[in-house]
Amino acid sequence: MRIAVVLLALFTVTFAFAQDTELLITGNYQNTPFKVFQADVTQQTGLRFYYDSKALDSLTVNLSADQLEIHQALNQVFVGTDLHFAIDNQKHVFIVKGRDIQERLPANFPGETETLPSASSRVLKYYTDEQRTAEVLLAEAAEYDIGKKTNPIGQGLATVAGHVKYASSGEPIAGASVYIENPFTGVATDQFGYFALTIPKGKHELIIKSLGFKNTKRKITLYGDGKLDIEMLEDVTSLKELVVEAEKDKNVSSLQMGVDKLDIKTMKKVPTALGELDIFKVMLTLPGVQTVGEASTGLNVRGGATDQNLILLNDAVVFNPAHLFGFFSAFNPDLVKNAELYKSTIPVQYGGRLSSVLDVNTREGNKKKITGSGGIGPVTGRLILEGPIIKDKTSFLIGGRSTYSNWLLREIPNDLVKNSKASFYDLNAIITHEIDENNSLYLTGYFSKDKFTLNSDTAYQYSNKAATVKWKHIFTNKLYNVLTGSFSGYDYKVESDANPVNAFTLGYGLQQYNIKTDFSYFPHPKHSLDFGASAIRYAIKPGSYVPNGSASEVERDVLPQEKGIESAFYIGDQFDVSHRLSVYVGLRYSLYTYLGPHDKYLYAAGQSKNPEGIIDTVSYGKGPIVTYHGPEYRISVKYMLSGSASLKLSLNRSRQYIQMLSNTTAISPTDVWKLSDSYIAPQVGDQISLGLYKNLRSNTIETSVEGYYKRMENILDYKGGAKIILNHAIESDVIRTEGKAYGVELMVKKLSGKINGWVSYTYSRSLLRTRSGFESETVNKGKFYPSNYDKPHAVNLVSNYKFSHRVSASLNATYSTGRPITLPIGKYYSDGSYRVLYGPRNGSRIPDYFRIDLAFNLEGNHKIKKLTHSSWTVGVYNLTGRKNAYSIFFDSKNGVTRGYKLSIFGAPIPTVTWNFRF
Amino acid sequence: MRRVTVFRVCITVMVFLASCIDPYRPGEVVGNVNYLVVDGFLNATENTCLVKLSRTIPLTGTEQVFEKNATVSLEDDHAQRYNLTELANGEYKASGIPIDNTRTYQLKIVTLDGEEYQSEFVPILYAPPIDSISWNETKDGVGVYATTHNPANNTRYYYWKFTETWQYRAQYRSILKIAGDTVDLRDYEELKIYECWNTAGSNEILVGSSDKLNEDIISQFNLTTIPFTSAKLHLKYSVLVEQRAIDSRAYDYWQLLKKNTEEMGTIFDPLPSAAVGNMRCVTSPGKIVLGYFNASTASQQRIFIEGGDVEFPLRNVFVTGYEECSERILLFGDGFGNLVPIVFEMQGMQPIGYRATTPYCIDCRLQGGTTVKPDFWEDLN
Repeated sequence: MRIAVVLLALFTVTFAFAQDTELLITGNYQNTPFKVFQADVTQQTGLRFYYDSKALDSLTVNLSADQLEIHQALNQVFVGTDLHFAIDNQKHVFIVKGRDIQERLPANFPGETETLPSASSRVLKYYTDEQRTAEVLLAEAAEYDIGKKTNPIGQGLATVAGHVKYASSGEPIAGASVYIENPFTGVATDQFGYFALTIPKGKHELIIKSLGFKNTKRKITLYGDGKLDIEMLEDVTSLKELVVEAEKDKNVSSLQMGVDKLDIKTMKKVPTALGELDIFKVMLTLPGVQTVGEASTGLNVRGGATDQNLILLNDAVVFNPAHLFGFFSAFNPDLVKNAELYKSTIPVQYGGRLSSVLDVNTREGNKKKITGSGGIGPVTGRLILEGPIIKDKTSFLIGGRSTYSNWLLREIPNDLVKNSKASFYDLNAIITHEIDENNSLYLTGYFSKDKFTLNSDTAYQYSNKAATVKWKHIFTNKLYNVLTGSFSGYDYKVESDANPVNAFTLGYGLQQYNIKTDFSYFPHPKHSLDFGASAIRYAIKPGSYVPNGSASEVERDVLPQEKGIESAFYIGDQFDVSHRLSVYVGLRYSLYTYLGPHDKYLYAAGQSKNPEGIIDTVSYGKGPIVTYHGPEYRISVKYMLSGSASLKLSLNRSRQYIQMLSNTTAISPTDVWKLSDSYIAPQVGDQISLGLYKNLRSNTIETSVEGYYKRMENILDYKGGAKIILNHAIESDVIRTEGKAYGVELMVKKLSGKINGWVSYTYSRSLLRTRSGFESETVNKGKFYPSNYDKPHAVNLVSNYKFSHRVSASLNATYSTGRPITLPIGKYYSDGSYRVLYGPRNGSRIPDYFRIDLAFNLEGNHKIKKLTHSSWTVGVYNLTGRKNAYSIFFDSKNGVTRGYKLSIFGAPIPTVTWNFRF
Repeated sequence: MRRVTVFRVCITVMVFLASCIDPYRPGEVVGNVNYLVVDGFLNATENTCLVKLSRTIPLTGTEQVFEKNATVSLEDDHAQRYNLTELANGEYKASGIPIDNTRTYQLKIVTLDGEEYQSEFVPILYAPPIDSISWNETKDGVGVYATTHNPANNTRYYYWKFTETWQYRAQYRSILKIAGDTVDLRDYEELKIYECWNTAGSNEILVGSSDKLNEDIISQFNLTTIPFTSAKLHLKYSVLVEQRAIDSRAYDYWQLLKKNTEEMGTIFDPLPSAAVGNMRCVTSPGKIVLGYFNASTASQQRIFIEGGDVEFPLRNVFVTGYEECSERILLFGDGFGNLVPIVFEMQGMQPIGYRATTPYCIDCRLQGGTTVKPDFWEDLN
C-alpha cells in the first residue's frame, strides 16, 4: 500500500517561509504577563502560540518594540530562560522548555515519502515531556495526506488506519476513540491501539480522545486508503480523575451493554484491605458483581457461579486467580493496563463460560527508555522493570511480586500457628516486538505459586501458569488478523508427612492449550466484521494420591487422565443501520468432544447413581467418547433516542464445557476443574438484557438502567457429603441443577470534576432448582432455593475527591443483603455432644453487609525530571469497624453446641503503601 | 485419609488480620422439630444390644428429651426376634443375644405415637483387637493414639469411643468436720472426700479409615489430646478405648456429621447438609429419623498415664478448678458461717482456732467425681 504523507509543518519549510515574510510587532511591555503579551502579538500578527501554560506562568515580559521582527522579539523575551521557540509556515509559534527545537531538526526532510507512519516519532526525537508536547502540537498543526495523492480528490470512501500510542513510551492505547464530526463517524482502538476508520475521501479533522490523555486531533486529506499513527500525551492533571470508560459518551453510543471497563488509574483509587490494588475487589464495586465473602476472589456475576467467569490474562485463562486464601488476586497491579468485564453480551470471539468474561490486559513495556516501578505494602512487595530492547520496536516488561507474610504468621502469639507458613509470589514477563508496520509479535508469560503449611504437618501449594504468543498481521487497512497461541496450567499439591505410615502426596493438574485466529474486517463504514476460529485442548489429571516416603503404606490412587477438545468458529457483524439504529449479530458455534481412553461406569437404571449401583464398566480407547455442540448467539440492538440517550437490547447464549467442582461456599484451593463427559452435560446459559442510558451535562454524568433475565441449565450441585477429591465416580455425587437469575442495575457516574465516582443500586435474585425424581438428588424438595450468592439488594458508592493535584481522597461504601446460609432448626444428642440439625438449604441469611473505606493518595511533586517518583496511599479499610459476618456456624466443642459469627475484617484495618517509579 | 479441604487454622491466621469469632444466636427459632434420634449398637463381643432413643430439641433447648415407652426389638434375617427392655433415660437393652455372623440384623422401633421405624439389615462386622493405645507429648498437650491392624484387610473403617477416668484431689485435706454444734475429727471414710475419680466420655466423633492404604493399618489415630494444663494429668489418668468396625457408608455418615458439627467456622466451610443414617420411618415414609444402627465386635484396651511420667513444659500450671480456694483462720468462738474447718490453727503446741475454707475446696465430690476407687484403678507409684 502506498502511503504518502506530506508534512507541511516542518521547519525546513517553516523558516524559509517565516523569514521571507517578516512579521513585525510594536508595543511597550513592562512586567507584562506572558499571556497578555502573547494575546497582543496574536492580535498584531495572527500568530498562534502553543505552549504549556504552566511553564510560562511566571514569565513576565519587559520589551520595547517598534516594528521588531518577531524572532528577535521572542529571543529578547526568552533571554536568560531555557525556553525555545519555533514558528512554522502556518503562523504557529511553539514554545518549549529545555532543549532547543531547532538543534534537533533533521537536515533534510523529504517532502514526500512512501511511508511515514508517525510524523513525530520518525522526525523528532525528543525526550522530555515539554518536547513531546511540542511534537504532538506539531503533529496537530500538520496536515497529512493519506493515500496516493490525486487531483482532484476522488469520490467515495477510503480507510485510514493506524495505531494510537503513548507519546512517552510508545505503548498502544486501547479503547481510544477516533472519529470525525461530519459526518459523525468513529471507531475505538482495539487492545493493540489499532483503528481503522472508513470515511468519505476529502479533508477531515480526526479527533482522538482517550481517558487519561489530552484530546488530540489530526488534519488529514484522504485520497485513498492509508496509514496514520497517532501519539497522545498523558494528561497529567487527569491522573487524579476517576474515569470509568474510555470514551465519555461510550455508554450511550456504543452497541455493547453490560460492559465495565476499568483502567488501572481508576482502580488505584479504590481502597483495599491489605494495601494493594486488587482487580477483583474493584470489580465488586460494580453493579451485578457479588461475592460470598471478603476472603474470596470468586466473582458471582449476575447470579452466576464463580466458575462461570472466563478470566483471561492476555488471552490465557487463569484458573485460580487467588493468592493467600483469597486475600489477594493473581494479578500484579503494576502490570495491569486495564480490565474489562463483560456481563451481558459476551463478544462473539469469547466463549466457554456462562456468566462473564473478565479480560485483563497487561501493559507493554516502555519502548523509549528503561523505567521501573514498585510498591511496598503491609503484606506484599512488588517491582517491575521495563524498557526497550530495540528502541521503538521491541520492548520488555518484567514484574514480580511476593509476600513477606511469613513474619506475620510468626508474630501471632499462638503455638498452633507458629509452625504455619503462607507465602506466594508471581512473575510476569512481556515482550512486544514490532516486526514491521504490518506485523507485531507479543509474548507474555505468567507464573504464580502459593505455598502454605498449616500447623507444620500438611503442606499445600498451587501454581498457575499462563503463556501467550500473539502475532498481529495487518493485511490491508480493512483487514487484520491476530493469531494467538496460549497455554494455561493449574496444579496443586498437598503433602503430609506427620505420620510416616499415612504420609501422602495429593496432586491435581490441569493443562489447556489454546489456538485461535481472530480476524477484524472493515468492509464498509457501516459494517465491521469479526470472524475467527479457536481450538482448545484440555488435559486434566483429576487427582492422584500417592505415598510420601518409604515408610508410607498409602496405596497409590491415581484417577485416569481426562482429555477433551473444544473448538469454535464465529462470525459477528456490527451494522450501523442508521445513525440511530445499530445492530450486532454474532453467531458462535462451539463443539466439544470428550476423549478417551476412559472407563465409563454404567449405573443401574431407576435409582440415583451411586457407587453401589455400578453394574458394568465400558472401556473406551483413544478417540471421541461423547460430543456436544451447539450455537451460541450474541445479538445486540442499539437505538439512539437522542444525542445523549439510547436504548439497548441484547440476547446472549453461552455454553460451558468445563466446570469447577466445589461444595464449599468460597472457592477452596483444593477445588478441581472437571470436563463435561458422558454424564455431566455442558452448561448452557441464556440471558436477555434491556438497558436505558442517558448522559447529562455534556456527558459528564452518565446514568443507566439495565435489567436482565438469565436461565442456566446443567449447573452442578452436590449430594450431601459429596467427595470432590479422588472420586472415581463423581457423577454419582453431583446433582444436575437449573438456575435462573434476574435483576435491575441502576447506576449514576460522574466522570470529571473535583468530586467524581459512581453510585449504583442493584436488585437481583439468583435461584436454583434441582430436577430429579430421586430423593437424594433433591434439594429443598425440588423447589427453587436461593444460591449461595443471592443478595437481593446491593448499593455501592465509589467516590473520589481531589483536594489538589497531589492530594486526593477516596471513600467507598458498600451495602448488601447478607448471603443465604443454611441454619440449624434444632439439635440432638449424639456421640457425646449435641449436634445441630440443618434446615432447608439456604433458608436463612447472615446479617447484612456494610462497610466504608477511606483512603488518601498523596503524590510526590510533579517535577518531571526527578529521579524517582513516589506516592503514598494511606487508608483505612472498614472504617466503622463493623463486624460483618463472613459466616454463621455452629460448633459442638467439648460437648457444648454454640452458634458463632465469623468476621474476617472485624475492625478498622489501617494500611500504608508506598509506590515508586524510576 | 486426612481431610484436605478444611483450613481450621486460617481463622487463627486471620486473627492477626482482625478477624474474630463472636457468639451468635439466630434471630428466630425456625420451626418446631421433633424427630426421633436413634443410637443403636449390637455388640457381638458382649452379645448385647444397646439402643438410646431421644428426640431433637430446639436449638435453645437445654434438656435432653428421651423417648420413653417405645417398643424396641432386634430381628435377624431369619425373623428371629429379640426384645429390648427399657432402662432409664431412653435406653433399651437386650443381653445374651446369640450372635450368628452369617446373619444380618435389623432394629425395629415402635414409638408411643404409633410410628414404626426400622433400620436396614446390617451384617456383623469384625473389629480386630487394638494393637496399642499410646501417648506422647505434642506441642498442644498429651496426645492419645490408637493403633490397630487387620491382617485380613477387611475391616477398613473404624469407630472409636473412649471413657476417661482421672484421679484428683481437693485443694485441702480436711480432717475436721462440723457435727451439729461441735467440731469433730473425720473418721476414715469421711477423710476420703479429699481424693476422687472423675469420668467423662468422648464427645467427638472418632472414625478412621485405612481405605487409602495398601494394608488395613491404622497408625496412631489421634483419639484425644489432653492439654498440659488439664487437671486430668495432675495425678493419674486412665482411658478405656473401645474399637468397633463400621462399613463405608457409616464412615461417610459420621464423617459428614463430624464435618457439619465439629469442623465449621473456616473460610472454606462446606455447605452443611443433613447426614442420613440407616434408619427410616415405615409408617410415614419421608419422615425424618436421625441416627445409625450398627453391629460389630468390639475390642477394648485401657492405659494409664501418670503425671510423673509426662514431660510438662516449663512453668506448667494445672487448671484444677481450685484456683479461687483460700484458707481463713477462725479463732475458737468465731462462727463458721458458710465455711468448713480444715485443721486446727496452732500457736506453738496450743490450738487457738481453725483453718477454714469453703466446702468446695475440701470435698472433691463437688467437682463431680466419686470417692469410690474404680475397680480397675492402679494406685500411684
